Amino acid sequence: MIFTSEIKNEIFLGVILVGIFLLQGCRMSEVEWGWKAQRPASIQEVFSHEVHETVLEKEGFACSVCHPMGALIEEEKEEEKMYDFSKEVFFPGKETCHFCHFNPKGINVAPGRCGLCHFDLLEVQPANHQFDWGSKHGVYAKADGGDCGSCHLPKFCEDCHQRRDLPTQRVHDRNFRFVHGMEARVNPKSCGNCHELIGFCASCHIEGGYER
Amino acid sequence: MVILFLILSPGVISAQEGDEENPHVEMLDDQFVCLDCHTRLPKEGETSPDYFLVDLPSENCLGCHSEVEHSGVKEHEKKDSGPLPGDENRKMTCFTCHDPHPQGSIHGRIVYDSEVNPRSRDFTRIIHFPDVEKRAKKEVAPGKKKEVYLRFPMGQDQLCRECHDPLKEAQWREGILWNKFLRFFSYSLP
Repeated sequence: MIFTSEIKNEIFLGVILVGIFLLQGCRMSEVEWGWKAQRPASIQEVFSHEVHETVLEKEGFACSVCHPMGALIEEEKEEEKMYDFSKEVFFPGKETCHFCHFNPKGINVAPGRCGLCHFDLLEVQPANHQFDWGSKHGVYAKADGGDCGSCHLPKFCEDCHQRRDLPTQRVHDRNFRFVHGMEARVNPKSCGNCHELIGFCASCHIEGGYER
Repeated sequence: MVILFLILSPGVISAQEGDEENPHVEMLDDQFVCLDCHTRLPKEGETSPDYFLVDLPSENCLGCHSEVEHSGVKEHEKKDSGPLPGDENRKMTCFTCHDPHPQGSIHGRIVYDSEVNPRSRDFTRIIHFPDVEKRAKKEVAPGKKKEVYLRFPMGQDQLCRECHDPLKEAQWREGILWNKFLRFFSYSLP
């Protein structure tokens, strides 16, 4: 069998695509995790008491906060129901974890590492986080910045928007201070995606005008 | 005859009431109540693997108490009792955590209640129990008894830490190289 150069290229391209597919651990269904990592059977497998110990002690939380032993079970008649109910009470539910890790009212006090428990992040991904979210998120963030904080720590935004010490600076180039005037003149609206135009720009420009 | 009945009747009635009373509390006043659970009183320094109990250590309390009286019992069942007293197979039983003898009944013995700090108690009441009720679709009845004769205080987690050591658990987990390797491939939101 003779392979023409076109077929060879197609085979080569196919091999690369399959490789990328495997490396990315693409999921074919809701339960498949590809080869990336074995999906834990339960949250208890990934929960670390050591990591939480210091924080819980500092906050004055006893073991019984997550594992209460004071609830009456004997009211259940069937043994199987007794056991199920005991299990429900004795192990913490999502509200216990969310109190620190996902608390929109109180702002997260603990890292929002949603993926630790939500093994399939698509289950908890907000509906508006679509493929073009990168270009749209500024509008939403400006409308309700606290909403971002219900899942993300401030660091998540700051890594892109405030840090100036990384060569991988993503939003504004390192020399942006010198060229931002041109970009602002070309498309002033783009600044407004994230910044309050009047307040933010004026905080530098109001005294000396544009030439300052 | 009537007079005799009137004289004896309060004693009969009080004896009937006494049967229904808590034998743990009675220990403070009545030495003979020991024989409700024990075959005999041990001599000074004498010990026995069955604690001189009338039934097997694993079953002795079940004459009066339910097998699943409160949450967490089933989860501890058949676990090693560690440094605390265990049943005939050195597994956990009621008296692993509870001391059936109230304070004052045995010289020098101290027992503790189930009180935890207010912050922990409120968290359980406000956050955890409503969550359970939502999931189990059943009302959670918090135990009203505070005097539960624990061997160590619950408040500072001393009782739990007699057997549980988060650090040891972590070391065991960290020791698995495979888990360390997999950590590189796990992903999560920052």
